[in-house]
Amino acid sequence: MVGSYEFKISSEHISYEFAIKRNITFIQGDSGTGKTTLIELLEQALVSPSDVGVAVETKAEWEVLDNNIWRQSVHLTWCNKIVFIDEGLWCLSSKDFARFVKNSGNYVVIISREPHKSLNMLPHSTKEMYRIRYVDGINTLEEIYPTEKFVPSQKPDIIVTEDENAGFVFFTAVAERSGSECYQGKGKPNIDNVLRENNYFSGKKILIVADGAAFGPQIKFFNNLIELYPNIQLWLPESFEYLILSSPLFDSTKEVREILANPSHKISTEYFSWERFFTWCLKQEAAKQGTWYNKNNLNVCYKRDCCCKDKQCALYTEGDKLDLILGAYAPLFRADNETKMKPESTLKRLSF
Amino acid sequence: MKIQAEMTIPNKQKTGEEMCGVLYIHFYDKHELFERYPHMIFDTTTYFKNTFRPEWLSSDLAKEMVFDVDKSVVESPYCIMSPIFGQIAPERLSGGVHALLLMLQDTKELMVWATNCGDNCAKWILKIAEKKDLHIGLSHYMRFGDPDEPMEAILVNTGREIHNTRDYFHAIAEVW
Repeated sequence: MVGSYEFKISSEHISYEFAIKRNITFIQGDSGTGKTTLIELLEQALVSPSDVGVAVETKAEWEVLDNNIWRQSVHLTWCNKIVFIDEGLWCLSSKDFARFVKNSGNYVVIISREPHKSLNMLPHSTKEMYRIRYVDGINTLEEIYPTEKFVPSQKPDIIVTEDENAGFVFFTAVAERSGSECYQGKGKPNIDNVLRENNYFSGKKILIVADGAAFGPQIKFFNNLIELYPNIQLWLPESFEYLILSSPLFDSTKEVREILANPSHKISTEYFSWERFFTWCLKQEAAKQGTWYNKNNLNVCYKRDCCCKDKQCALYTEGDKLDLILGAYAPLFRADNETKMKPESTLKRLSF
Repeated sequence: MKIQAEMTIPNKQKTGEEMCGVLYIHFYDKHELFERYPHMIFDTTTYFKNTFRPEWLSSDLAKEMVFDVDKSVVESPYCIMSPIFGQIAPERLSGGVHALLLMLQDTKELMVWATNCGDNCAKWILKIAEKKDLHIGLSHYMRFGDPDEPMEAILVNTGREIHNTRDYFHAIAEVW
């Protein structure tokens, strides 16, 4: 299943309008905001589409998964549907449920506050976690953790990466250049361990870098962390591979530009997270350009200035490679006495 | 049903005052809570619907909670005015309010799964716990207030005393 699907649901008393864009969406938020009512309206419309006083407009096929349907295994026949699930479903924590989400080819919309352990096996995006917001008579979905809140705004003394492979190697190079330190969190739960072992690096500016496409189960905890410790910031790009793909290294590639402009229309449920997709995409695009990308072993081309100025190379660019990948945030990662990054207009690329 | 705590839970008592309540937080995922406390109420809405008594909506505190969380006015125990649906019966209140009203009842053995509650219920959980010992099951990080805001609780998992939201954060971080 691929794409973004709009929904308009209404009864005499209440209306909802929203879009579902990825394979896993969470609806959370305060009590009394209409989450359960949404599921009830969908259930009623399923039973009798025309005579229950509920209108559902959407191009998607959709279902509601409850405990009875789960017990009877009816859901196993569903494919290419949007499946709405209320928090009463007991199997949400089970491996069978994780398997269903991963392999069925459906999108799931889950109303639950619990960061289910099983769903840690199915990483979900911080961007697809919503609360219901009532605006001008219509209930819409509002991002709980908007991307613009989780970007760096101050030069870090210490960088902590969730990633222990290519991302860590890259940010280690960034840290070395700017005189900072870099620690690896070795996965989301261990980031907090690193912080606690170092007493939250009191008095220093910390930047935690993690893949937003997979950080959903941890975000509420870390959002509260940065509230308590203003010296700590959180940066959640979709993924490290996304940073590379959206840098000038690939801006002449039409396919990459199309994917980045509208990812939900290009990324299918074949990839259970956009992080996996961007990794695959980067590998493919790098190979097309005659080079390579490996998550476990960062190609030096992604962290060092070009060595092939006299040869044709698809990744040839002038300018600091680290800066190119860091993008708009590059000035925050320079040593205090370094000159600023060259404007993009002076970057040259060999054309083939 | 006996509420089983892992460690000796201290009795908190203010000198010269009546014994006040304590919030005991049992922080585990849902299935572990079910194994530890088989009679915990997870489906608070269904339980509420089948056990509701009109006196549950007679206190000022109950009416305040309904108004604050659901924006609804209790006109009588069986008639509540909702801004969306008009007159509704008590079972049409939100799951979070059902959970709060169950917590409010003076039933020592009743233990409620507080992950049914949004963050907007957190201050009411603390208010209920001021009046009596309150044991709740919790499977998600509930936000109890702004940074360093006072709160009193005990995390049963470790026996750690919590005096503000910073303590709460660190207590949860140890067991998450």
